[in-house]
Amino acid sequence: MKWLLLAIVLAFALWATASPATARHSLPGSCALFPIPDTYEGPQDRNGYLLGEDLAAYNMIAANDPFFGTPIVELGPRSDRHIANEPYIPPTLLKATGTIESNLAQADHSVNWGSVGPAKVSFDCGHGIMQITSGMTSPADNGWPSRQQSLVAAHYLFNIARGAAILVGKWNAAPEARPIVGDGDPRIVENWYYAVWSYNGFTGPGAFISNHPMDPIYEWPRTGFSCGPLADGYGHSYRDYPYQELVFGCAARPRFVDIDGEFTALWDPLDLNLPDLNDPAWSGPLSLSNFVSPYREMDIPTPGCSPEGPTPTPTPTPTPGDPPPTPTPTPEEPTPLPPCAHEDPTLQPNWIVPALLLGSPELTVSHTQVSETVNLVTISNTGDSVFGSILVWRVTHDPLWIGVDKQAGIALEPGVPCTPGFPPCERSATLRITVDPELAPPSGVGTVLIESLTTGEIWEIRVLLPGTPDPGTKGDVDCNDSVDGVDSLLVLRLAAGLGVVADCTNVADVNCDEIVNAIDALLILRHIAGLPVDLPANCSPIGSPPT
Amino acid sequence: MRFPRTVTALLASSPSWWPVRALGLALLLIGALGLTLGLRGTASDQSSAPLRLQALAQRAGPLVVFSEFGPTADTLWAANPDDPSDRVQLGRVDHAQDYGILPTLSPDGAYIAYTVLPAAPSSAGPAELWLLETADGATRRLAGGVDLRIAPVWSPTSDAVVVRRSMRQADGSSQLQRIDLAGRAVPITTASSNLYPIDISPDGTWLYYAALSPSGTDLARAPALGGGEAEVVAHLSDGFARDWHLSPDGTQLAYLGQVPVGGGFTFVAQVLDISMGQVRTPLGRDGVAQFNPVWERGGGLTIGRLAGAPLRLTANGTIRTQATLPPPSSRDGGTGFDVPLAWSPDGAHLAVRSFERSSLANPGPSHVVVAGTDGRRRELSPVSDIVVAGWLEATP
Repeated sequence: MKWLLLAIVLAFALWATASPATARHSLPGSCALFPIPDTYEGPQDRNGYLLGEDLAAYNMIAANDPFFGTPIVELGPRSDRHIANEPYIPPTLLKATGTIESNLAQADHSVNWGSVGPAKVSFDCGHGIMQITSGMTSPADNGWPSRQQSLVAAHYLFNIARGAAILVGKWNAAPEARPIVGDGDPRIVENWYYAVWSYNGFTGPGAFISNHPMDPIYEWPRTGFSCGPLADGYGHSYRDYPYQELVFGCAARPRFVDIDGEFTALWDPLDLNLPDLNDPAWSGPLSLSNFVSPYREMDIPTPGCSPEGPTPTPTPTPTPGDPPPTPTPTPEEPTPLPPCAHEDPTLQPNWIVPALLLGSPELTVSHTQVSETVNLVTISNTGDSVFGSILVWRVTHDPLWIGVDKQAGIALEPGVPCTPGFPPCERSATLRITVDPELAPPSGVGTVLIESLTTGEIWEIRVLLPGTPDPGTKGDVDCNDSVDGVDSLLVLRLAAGLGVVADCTNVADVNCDEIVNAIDALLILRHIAGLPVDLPANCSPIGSPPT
Repeated sequence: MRFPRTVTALLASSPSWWPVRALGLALLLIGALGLTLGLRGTASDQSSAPLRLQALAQRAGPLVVFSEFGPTADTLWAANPDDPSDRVQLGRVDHAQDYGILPTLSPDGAYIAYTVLPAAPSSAGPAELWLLETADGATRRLAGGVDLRIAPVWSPTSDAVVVRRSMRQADGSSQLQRIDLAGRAVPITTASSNLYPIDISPDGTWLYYAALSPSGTDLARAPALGGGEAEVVAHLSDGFARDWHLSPDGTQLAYLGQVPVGGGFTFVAQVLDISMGQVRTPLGRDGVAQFNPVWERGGGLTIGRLAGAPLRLTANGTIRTQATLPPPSSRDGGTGFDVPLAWSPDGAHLAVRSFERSSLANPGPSHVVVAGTDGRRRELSPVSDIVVAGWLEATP
């Protein structure tokens, strides 16, 4: 009997101790990063996230980045599609999308608000606030996560920016591959109906998850969806709505959060119209026979507007083989919106906001060299920004004999709010570096590079097999862990046969010509000045271990 | 109501000390194993539920069984239709954040089958099929990889359910499967078009289902035990048809069909005579939107309309003027409207979804209400997210 009880207790203990660890670093399926990197989860008021959505709506996070920049939308009816002057998404739509996707959370639900922990990753590799799935299912950089993938997983601003870029991509898929709503004016929020539908998958009857509003899996008629309080009379179960109705309903009835004991809506409600599924003006285009790629017959009037209001222009008869019309920039004079349509009143943020949110991270690592079988190094953010900053780092290394326990992660400046709790909010990251002596090269020397993805800084850690003599650093003649002007002077003294008090004269021949002369001194000066240093193919760079 | 034998056994027996210890130990062991394996079906505070359920059923007559949504767990209730606050909790089901369950009550009232998106997805697929025993709240998992949004369809003898499985990221095909209470699955039919199980004929022979394709909606049927050829019974609509209900005698199908109006379609209630292939439109195309036609046990039909209370038709199709339903009450000055959901077996109550406004484009908030033929209306819950699983009858 005692043994049986002991077995039960042990079973409980195993279950209890195994679950959190499994949750923390298990990966659902196979996604881009393993293990799931840590990220920062902002405070519960979501102020940073909501500002981030506003910034992305106006392309103010990474404006010139082709991956994270918000593209310019195309606008106008099918027969007169052209390019808008500025990128724009109704900001409330982005906030509602983020709420539906993740409850506006970048980290796993086990992470406290205002703390650090594993990023939110769904079973199908949706990452972070906007649940970015595209491009996140496998490593994109030769079997290793790319810079973009790491930023999407670890930094809320880049996650939001990527989500906005994807949403505009869905909008711009019209008219070639998607239908158009109304006159195609992106200022009218209801005109984003098909783009939002596409964000989750432009699916209908026959798909694994259908988002067609007339699919019989959804009740009809149906009360609108709400992100608000449970007893507000509206629907709250995601199961009961196609995706675009979740987002539109959430925009109209936002989530409430407890801020200092007061329940507050996350944004001002934006009441939006949905297609009247019993009105032929909408039910006609949405009929089963029209749900066929490229969906040319599915153009609809702006929901809520009279079909005679802002109507789509009739589809021109396409000529087989004709290329799609090339959009051309057109100067836009804002035209008044029809009274039936809704415009998002959210104002464009001040241009100083992105700089404040991104801050000026600065990468600092506790070691430049490690020489044990198992090594722990600390990665910190020593920037000094007004509101703090999040530094996203990524590790690369010789995969054959050096191992690391993380591929990417973050480090926080002191100014970033860090809520005490359990697990604790760790501002700095700890990276575990291990070596496998049996696979090590004869030199016993390798490197681990830690790259700051937000600034481009790279920190190099030299990894020595235990027992390997320190080979020094190319150009660091005085062995002070830095290649500087003094080293150049020492090289000149060596070349001139003058006395030198230095222990690392073996690294003075930086161009590997087996002669220490003035050319080596000059190359060191070029390295210090950041100028190109031309070295033979098999000669390692200045500042790295000698060849 | 037929309580499973476990309940009567529990009520009748008076265990001695050692069997109690052995039972307790066994339960502890099962609990530990269940938790360890992640099989965490929940039935909280069920100790006195069988007695209270029996007492409630004998006092109140047929009970309305429904699920009440919660962000991370739904609650299953059996309630007195004349006083929904007089209710018994049948179980509580954990689910993925914000994804409610979809339950249906078995014909014998012993089980509730439900699809659920579990809090921790399994590798087999996102949604699972579970079974809850109404008498004691015990739950067990029957299958994984089922479609969350398709309600399980019970066999007339309550020994199996039919569910839909869609082939994720494949060719878009879907399969209807019969799954018995031991979890054994048998394919009934597979198609590249989307399939919607409707009901099994009263003799258990045929599974009726709808098939949607770009050419419209067809009614088809296949042997309910699997292993046979499917056949198309009728073409229901060139567009969408929906809200299909097989009549109690299995000879007719009521549904909403899209009929051409102007350049598009609108929904009207239609009834197909399955053997003759004839379709009738009980209320005609009177210009008022019609909703979810549901059968009464005696063969009458009730059809929701945008204006006022649902209309009741007798088995021969004439509009009933006696025992009409109370009209919806509006909270914002409009008239509101009701969508019928399910009649109680004794014909005294109709569960409806009651909308506050009279606009289909924006029907406003809604609640599930039990409308009595005595003219009274009672809201089941302040929460809108209610799914009526069925009516629980007391057996003599």
